Amino acid sequence: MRTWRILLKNLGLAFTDGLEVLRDISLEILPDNIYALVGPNGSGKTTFMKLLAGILKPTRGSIEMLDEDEIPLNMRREVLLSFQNPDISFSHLTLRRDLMEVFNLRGERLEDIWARLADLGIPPEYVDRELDTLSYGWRKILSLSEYLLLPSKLLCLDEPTANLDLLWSMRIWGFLFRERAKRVFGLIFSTHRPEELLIADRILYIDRGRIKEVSHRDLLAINNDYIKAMLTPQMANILANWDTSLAEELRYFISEATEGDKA
Amino acid sequence: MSTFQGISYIPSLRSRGGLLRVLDPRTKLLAMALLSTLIFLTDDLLKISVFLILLLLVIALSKLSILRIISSLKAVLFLILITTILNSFMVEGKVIWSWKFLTLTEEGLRFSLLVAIRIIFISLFSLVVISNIDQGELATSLRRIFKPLRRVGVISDDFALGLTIAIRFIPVLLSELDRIYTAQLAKGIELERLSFRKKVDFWISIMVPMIKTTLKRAEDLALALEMRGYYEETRGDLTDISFSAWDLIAIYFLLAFTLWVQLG
Repeated sequence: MRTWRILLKNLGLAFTDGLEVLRDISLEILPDNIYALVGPNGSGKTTFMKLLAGILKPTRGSIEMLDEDEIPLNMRREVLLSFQNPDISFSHLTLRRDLMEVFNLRGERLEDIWARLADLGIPPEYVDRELDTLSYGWRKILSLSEYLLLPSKLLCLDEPTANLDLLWSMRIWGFLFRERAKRVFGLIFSTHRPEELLIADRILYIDRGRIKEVSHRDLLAINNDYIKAMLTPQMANILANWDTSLAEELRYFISEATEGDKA
Repeated sequence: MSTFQGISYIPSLRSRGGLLRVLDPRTKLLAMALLSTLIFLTDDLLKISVFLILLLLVIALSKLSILRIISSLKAVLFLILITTILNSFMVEGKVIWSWKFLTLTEEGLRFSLLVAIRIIFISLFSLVVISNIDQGELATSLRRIFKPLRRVGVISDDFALGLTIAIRFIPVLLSELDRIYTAQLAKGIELERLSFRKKVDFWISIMVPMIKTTLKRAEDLALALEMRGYYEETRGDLTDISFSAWDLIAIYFLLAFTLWVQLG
């Protein structure tokens, strides 16, 4: 069932000093796909996500989120953006205080939040613990749990597994996929890790401000040093044979493998 | 681009050279301190207008873009407005207009105009001076200026270093503030629709991560200084500064100007 879509038409963004960061982007983003956004450093990935979250406004073209009756939705509320560093997103010393603050500022009621937090697999003793005393991996998970609890339709994650080891990266993905198995929400993440391309349904490839939606196989044909550096022969082989069932299988495997994992 | 860019005029406004470059940074700092004090010591509109002519001259010599200078005034606009409004109604004298407890007087208007001109002069003059001194020069001049304090037991180097670091870190902290601000907005908080009380809550909530990251940064910086073997006794200067004939001319001029303002 399609509940919303985001339409981008000839979208462009130039900063006041004339620097054109994004140009000619026409895309349709749907809730049932998980999108991986790939491109070199400084190619405009974060800027693109800020546009989706309504923090920046395009200087050219249009971007809108429409529900099933084609009525525009408020993207500032419906699209959330989580940055790499979880520490800048916490405005209080504990998760409980921080959640209360965000819900207060968004004008929403907390209701069964604490029960849902436990459902997500957050140990109850972490809710009141000072965030500084937790590991980086846990702070990242707690920060993401806030985004999952806030009512929204699309989640943009800016390099969610940057600075994390492979095991913690799997825990992060397992955490997200288990929730996504319960309710469908849009997911876009940026990454520099080739193996993370395999868990996405579609790939948004960004190069010098232009974004194209490509399939996994299309990536192999792109003549670009950044992409070439990502593709070892083994990876190229997997991508050539990639299909949706592989992504689903991997997501299921990661969800299962990290379930109940108390780190 | 950045929400807080308007405030960060110190690093973003770099002078492209110009005649002010030939002066020693200490002369420029002296001029800044002296003229900023002097303008408060006179009420004479003729003398004040000479200050303004001087300011225009300095701006012309500094080769700074006029547009950027004007946009940097935005930061002090609020201060100017508040002081002007308060002063206009608070000074007693010949009443021009009155309503209930509010009375506008001729003296009040004159006084508030003077204060506004003074604030504009001080902010623009220091802006021009600061954008004509680079960081290395500033560090060296502060060290040399504070050197005599050693005789009374103040460690001048630490003091100068502290001041230099504080100035150097304004842009760093502003970009940090911008990142935290954006991260908070990205949770779907619509700042423009919040009530005043909630807006206050929002800004307070930004301060927690801000203070935390600033302390972390200070710790990193202290560690970096330590690792590079920083000791005040043995340190030298990266940039050398020295007085020239131009400085002598400038100082004579400042002296004459001071005498004229005070005695003339």
